[in-house]
Amino acid sequence: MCCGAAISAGYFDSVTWLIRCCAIAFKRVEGLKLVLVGSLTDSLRLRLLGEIRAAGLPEDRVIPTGYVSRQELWTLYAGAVALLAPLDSSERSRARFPWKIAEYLAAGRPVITNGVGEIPRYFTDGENALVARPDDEEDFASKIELVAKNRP
Amino acid sequence: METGIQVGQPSEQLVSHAPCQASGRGAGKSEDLERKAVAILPPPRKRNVLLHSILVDANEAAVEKLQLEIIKGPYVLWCGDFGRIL
Repeated sequence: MCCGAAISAGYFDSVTWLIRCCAIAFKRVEGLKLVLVGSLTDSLRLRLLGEIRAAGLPEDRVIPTGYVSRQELWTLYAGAVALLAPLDSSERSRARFPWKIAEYLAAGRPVITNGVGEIPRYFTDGENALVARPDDEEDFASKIELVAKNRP
Repeated sequence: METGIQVGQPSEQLVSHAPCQASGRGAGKSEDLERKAVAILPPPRKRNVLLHSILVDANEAAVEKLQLEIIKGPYVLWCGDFGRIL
């Protein structure tokens, strides 16, 4: 019996995890929001809304932008408190290196990620990125809090 | 007069653009577009103007245009592929 629609190869699970992390962090940092950039179908947007509610996160603190142009994306990067690249400890995450992180670094904003796969080979927590423990929502949330409370 | 209206080739009918996705602008503009198009087209081609609910003026449309000003205050950002429901 089919009990629910599967979601294809994107990173919706990572976003769901990230929302839970933000639910923790946002209780400690007033006014901070999560901006999610990427094409989003209506059905997936509804599902996302369900995840936001389930995490106890106020809906107005999560902004799914949908598709944005490259120019708008760089504008968004430049204005962000931090750029997030959550990685779980799955085989899929261990076997890849997100090129998105390179783009994040080029934007010159703090990067928060997890110490999974090759990440520890290139990044040291507190030096060139904030590297949370794998699958540790509280740790990732604390990194968000740290950056948000120490922004210029 | 530069209007941004596109006159298609070879049918020379107005072509429809993608519907406005972000702001909903464009609704109700079809009649206005008809007036603009009729004004600039030579008489034999005026009949080629078709009304369509999603016709928009390319210069006025906010197609796929993110309203950056809705993002106020500090934010953290994730960018990537959400995937799709199968």
